Amino acid sequence: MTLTKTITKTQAPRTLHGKLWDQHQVAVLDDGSELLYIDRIALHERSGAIALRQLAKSNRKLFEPSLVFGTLDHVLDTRVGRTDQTLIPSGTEYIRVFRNEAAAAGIVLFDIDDPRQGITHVTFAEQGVALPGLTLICADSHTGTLGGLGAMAWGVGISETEHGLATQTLNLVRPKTMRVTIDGHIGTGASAKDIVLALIGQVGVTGGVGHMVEFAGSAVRDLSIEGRMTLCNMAVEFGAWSAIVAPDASTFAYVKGLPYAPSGAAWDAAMETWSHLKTDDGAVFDREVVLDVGALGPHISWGTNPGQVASVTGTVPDLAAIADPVARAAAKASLDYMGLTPGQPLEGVPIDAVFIGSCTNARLADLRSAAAILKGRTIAASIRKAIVVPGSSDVKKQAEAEGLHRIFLDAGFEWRESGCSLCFFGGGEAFPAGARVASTTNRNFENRQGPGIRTHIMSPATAAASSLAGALADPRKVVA
Amino acid sequence: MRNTPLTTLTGRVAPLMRANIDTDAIFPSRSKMGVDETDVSRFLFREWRFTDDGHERPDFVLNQTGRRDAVFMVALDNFGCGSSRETAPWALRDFGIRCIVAPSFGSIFQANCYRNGIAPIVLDRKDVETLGSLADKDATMTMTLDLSKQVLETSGGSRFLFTMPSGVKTMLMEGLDTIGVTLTRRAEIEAFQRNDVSTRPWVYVGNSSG
Repeated sequence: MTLTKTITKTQAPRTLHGKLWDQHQVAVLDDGSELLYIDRIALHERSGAIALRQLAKSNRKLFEPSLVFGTLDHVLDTRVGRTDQTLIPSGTEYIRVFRNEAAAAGIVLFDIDDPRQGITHVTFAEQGVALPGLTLICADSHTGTLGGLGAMAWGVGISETEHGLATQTLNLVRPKTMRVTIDGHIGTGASAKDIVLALIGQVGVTGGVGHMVEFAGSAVRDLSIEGRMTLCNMAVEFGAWSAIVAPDASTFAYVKGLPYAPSGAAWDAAMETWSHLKTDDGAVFDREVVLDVGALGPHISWGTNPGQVASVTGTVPDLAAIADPVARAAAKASLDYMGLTPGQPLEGVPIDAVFIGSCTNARLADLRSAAAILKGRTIAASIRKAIVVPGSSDVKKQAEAEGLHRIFLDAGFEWRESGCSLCFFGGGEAFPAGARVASTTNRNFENRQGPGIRTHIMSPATAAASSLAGALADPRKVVA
Repeated sequence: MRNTPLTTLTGRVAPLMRANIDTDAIFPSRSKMGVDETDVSRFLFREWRFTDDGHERPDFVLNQTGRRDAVFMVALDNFGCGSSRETAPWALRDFGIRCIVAPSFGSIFQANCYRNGIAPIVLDRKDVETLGSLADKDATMTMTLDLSKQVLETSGGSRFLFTMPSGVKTMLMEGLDTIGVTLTRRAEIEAFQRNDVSTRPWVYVGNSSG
């Protein structure tokens, strides 16, 4: 132990990311890139089916099947009474190929009827598959969500997944480091979602390209682990390679007792290591961003990328005020698609549909937040479709135990089984053509929720308030 | 899997001068793609390329004379942002695009390109705009990529130098089977794992409770 401490003291101060890279480095290659050890590989049926099938076709075996976990979320139907049949063309094939290949490969699969089934980034946190300090990859861009637990998690493609499965490593050039320090106490009615929307609005959708982001500051410490996962979930929306929050007492309390978390002596050994998972004083980041969120209110996107956001009390921007010509052209195209005009107030824009769900905002705390607004109320008559999709089967069970499902059903929402659902084309469903949707998801891209769909992303509280008003609305104005 | 090596490339250029072209636009999630499908080019830019009933939209660049056989694409900032779907670079590759020039790329998309024999080349936005403007004015313009010299040259003589990390450049130029290359280090990985099992045993309790 003394020797270890001496070595540590002689090293230059390191960032948390730097420590995790050093710890997982198998080799430094001739070109300066690193072979990094991967602790967990998460698979879902959309990309996982192809990765496992291609690996099998090339006659390669998994390096360590016990470190690989699968779940169903993308293709799977979320309507009550679901089966392997799904509205996605070839969807059933994906589910069955994935199930068969997972069994042949000897990996654990949270299948359709498994109580652990859920959205990858939700269930693998709840089950303790993701843990502080672990490297974790998944062929899904929102894998960084698990950084909220202090894991170094990032999204990859199918080829990189195959590489991970076959070698338990990835060959990578170390990204630059970026610290985003967020201080201040957010206002009533605001949440982690509003923090990250405001942040992306400030740094822009390319603000983190090429960087691994550490979130720090008092506002981050104040967030629950669920809130930290919401924050990390959307780091990819400003281009970050990955995002992390250093694990602390809240993290350890969350992780302790989870099904795949260590227990007994193994827990003590893990804690000895995890307690050092923080950036050293004096460590230098390639980039620093500071955000004060004191009294921050709810935010809503007005455009077709997640950086095009404003306060719920704000207006669609004046195009002439956007200095950068590329950003101005993008804003013009966004407004044409969204059917909004410069200077128009966001509050009061009529909506047709509401979606509460996704890896961003479908955890128990999110559902509680929406239910608190909806309790004893009903959605506006003009709303054509209103859906709540729990992030995991376990979230669904807990929400039902608390009676949240009754609140949603009484208000006029559908109460679904867990999955990705209408965040995109999940389960093969889309909103009615051209509908304007209040959505708790992460992407407001053109056509993502269906052809011509106009998506406004926001928090669960703001989506709930908007469902009552039948228009974009400020949750602070819903009187308790 | 090995890719066709990419050392030099000459052909037409398709300018698509928008920022933040996401992978949902490149490969919509509604695409009816089977698990084992090998040519997914028909899904490329589906919503922008075709009407709902499958007719070509004549104003979309890849439907225009001289652009249908483009091997280069030029776009603005953050090309390939969003979803990790590797079907996006597959659709571009299957269509025939082997090189994309932009001021920046979505990081997962960029990594996916290298693994699928597509060169994602970063130039300053000013140079990208110049190149896009040249291609826009002259549909017959061709361009040549020389990866070893790290240069792009148009048929009109405009030259653009770029840099690319040596590891991924080699991957493109040799069409390497990267899994095979890494597995030559199997002993090193196994040694790392043996040591790791004793220093971080909790990592390996994984499936014992499942």
